[in-house]
Amino acid sequence: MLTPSAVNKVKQLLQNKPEYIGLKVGVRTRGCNGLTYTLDYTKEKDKSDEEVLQDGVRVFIEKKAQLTLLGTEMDFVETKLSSEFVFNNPNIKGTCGCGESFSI
Amino acid sequence: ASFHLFKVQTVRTCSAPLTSSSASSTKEEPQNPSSSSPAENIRLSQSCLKKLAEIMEKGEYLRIAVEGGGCSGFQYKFALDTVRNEDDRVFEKNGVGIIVDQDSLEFVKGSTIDFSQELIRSSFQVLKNPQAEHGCSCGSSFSVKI
Repeated sequence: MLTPSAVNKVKQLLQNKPEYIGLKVGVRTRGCNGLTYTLDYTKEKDKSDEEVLQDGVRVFIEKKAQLTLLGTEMDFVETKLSSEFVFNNPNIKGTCGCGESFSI
Repeated sequence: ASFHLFKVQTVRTCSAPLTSSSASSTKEEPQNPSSSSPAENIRLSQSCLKKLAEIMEKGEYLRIAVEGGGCSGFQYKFALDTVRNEDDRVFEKNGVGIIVDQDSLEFVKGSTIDFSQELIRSSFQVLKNPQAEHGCSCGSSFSVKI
């Protein structure tokens, strides 16, 4: 699930970049709580990727990230000082500090 | 909580001479940080200056504060502010400025403020903080070197 602001931001990021078909969400071991999400441009869909197509934008979820993203909403939050994609995950047990790192 | 308190006290005791020298230079030249030693200063990276020029309105400053919290004991807070208090130090360059209160400055002096831009997030960050031990993940939280 992507919120409208996330859809808009992904659209904006992919504008004028015809070489990329979408963004890819991954998960990496990092931070104080074990895991953190990564986001990259992607040129192709891996066999094991899950594809989320919403309002014309495509986001691919890496296999490793799929389990942690079950039921998660991807949002884009922008303030004057910062902007970021956040994953509102009902399965998260704990985050710390900035909320970038989490455990399940 | 008592452990954090211990750390704070240790840091303040160690840096007491610096505190007093910085206080006197503040009185003489409140807007000229170059009058004090580089270790007392806060540097602003190019990307930080560029972002500040974009978002700041007249009379606005980026306020940097250090608070207890986060996974490593202390964390940085960034906010926009138009009010300068008596114990604030101002660091200005190219018409934009940041303000740091004296207590927080003890924890961030010598650092570089950067605006980091990644696909997943863009935010202000405190880099190369000589007082900080390595924090975790995003770098908003840190522990203090003893």
